[in-house]
Amino acid sequence: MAETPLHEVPSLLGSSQTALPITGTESRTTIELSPEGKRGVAMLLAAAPSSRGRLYLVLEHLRGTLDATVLQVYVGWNAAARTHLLAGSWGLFGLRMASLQYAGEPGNGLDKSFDISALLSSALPDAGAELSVRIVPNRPLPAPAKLVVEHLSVAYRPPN
Amino acid sequence: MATSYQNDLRLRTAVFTLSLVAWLVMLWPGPAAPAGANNPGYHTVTYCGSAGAFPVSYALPGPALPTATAVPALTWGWASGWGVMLVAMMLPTLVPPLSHVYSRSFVQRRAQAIGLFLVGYGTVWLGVGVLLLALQALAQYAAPNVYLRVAGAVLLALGWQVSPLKQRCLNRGHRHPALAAFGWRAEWDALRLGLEHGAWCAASCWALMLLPLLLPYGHVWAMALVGLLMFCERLDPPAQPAWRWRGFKTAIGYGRLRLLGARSNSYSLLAQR
Repeated sequence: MAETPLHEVPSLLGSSQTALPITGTESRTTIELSPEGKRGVAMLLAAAPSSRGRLYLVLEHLRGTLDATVLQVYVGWNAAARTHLLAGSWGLFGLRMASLQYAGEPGNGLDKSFDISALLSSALPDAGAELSVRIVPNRPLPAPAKLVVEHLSVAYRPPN
Repeated sequence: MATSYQNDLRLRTAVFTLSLVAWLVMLWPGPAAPAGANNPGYHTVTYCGSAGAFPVSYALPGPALPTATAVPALTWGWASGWGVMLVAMMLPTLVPPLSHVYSRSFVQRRAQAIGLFLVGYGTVWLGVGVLLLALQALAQYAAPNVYLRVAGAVLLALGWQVSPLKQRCLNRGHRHPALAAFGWRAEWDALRLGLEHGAWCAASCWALMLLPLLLPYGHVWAMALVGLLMFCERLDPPAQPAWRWRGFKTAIGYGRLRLLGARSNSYSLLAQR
């Protein structure tokens, strides 16, 4: 396999355009890749899996009041198995305190990174694709309550 | 999300190098100031651009203290000098927000985003600089006695340093909101972060920044100490607002670490067993 210049892959590949509210049983959004991000994904897909470095799905500033919730976070779509790919689970312990207003401003909320390096080929089968994200609470969220993820992004860390 | 170690190191190196260059520019000896009431006879440097109008002496106090320090006129020269002073003193405190902007921006927008952040931050501090000059003039009018004026400035700076309000401002400075990555919102978010961070930074530091302006001598030494204190108090995590000493312990620890190296502690002693 040809050597690819992985040091040219940018650290931020893609980002969500808007905040993602999580209500009811599930929520979906897509993360759009930048032109450099698409080139970076093409380089990563061309590289040997063992030398790719790490790819992360980053969820920032999740705010809400439902601490006793666990979110299942899925990315992409496995056509063969007709299922979404599980990036990981996220228990929201401490969410309410982290979301409390302070001097008129909301708290920072919770942040979480999921290592999706192993899912790259399935989640982003070609460099022009967007990364779809699906978030499923462990139980349906009651109607007046909602969780909001302010920002989602895909970040890359090169191999050491 | 954090920048990778190499990117972080590159950013820190650039920031501290720029700050060092700005310090060297400020310390560069200017022409000897003419003899007069405000002239202690030492070589002075100016950061106002108009030589002699705003002498910033780095000499230690001499026997004869002037009764007043000339308040500089608001000129482009003053603004550029104020900018150099900001780079020297404040740039090292901006590593966390700069790292935040760096890591949240796409490669092709990164320089623009960092530039807009700095423009917003600098604009706020330029306005605050004008207010500090007004305070300097007011202090000289209200307290012609230099000892009284300096004592008042020291008390004011210490009072603000230990106040809960200062902790509130520092806490807000630690806040890094999400930044949009696409479109005009990316530029606006970077500029807004610069304005917000500048406002909270100025609100937490104004009293410390006023202190060197009111000293008759030793401005640069005072600026260096104040700069170190401001850098170190930002190394402390956000805390509950309360009356307490803040920054000094970290500054002493930081200075000791840099000058004497890491102390052997129980952990290292355990490791040697």
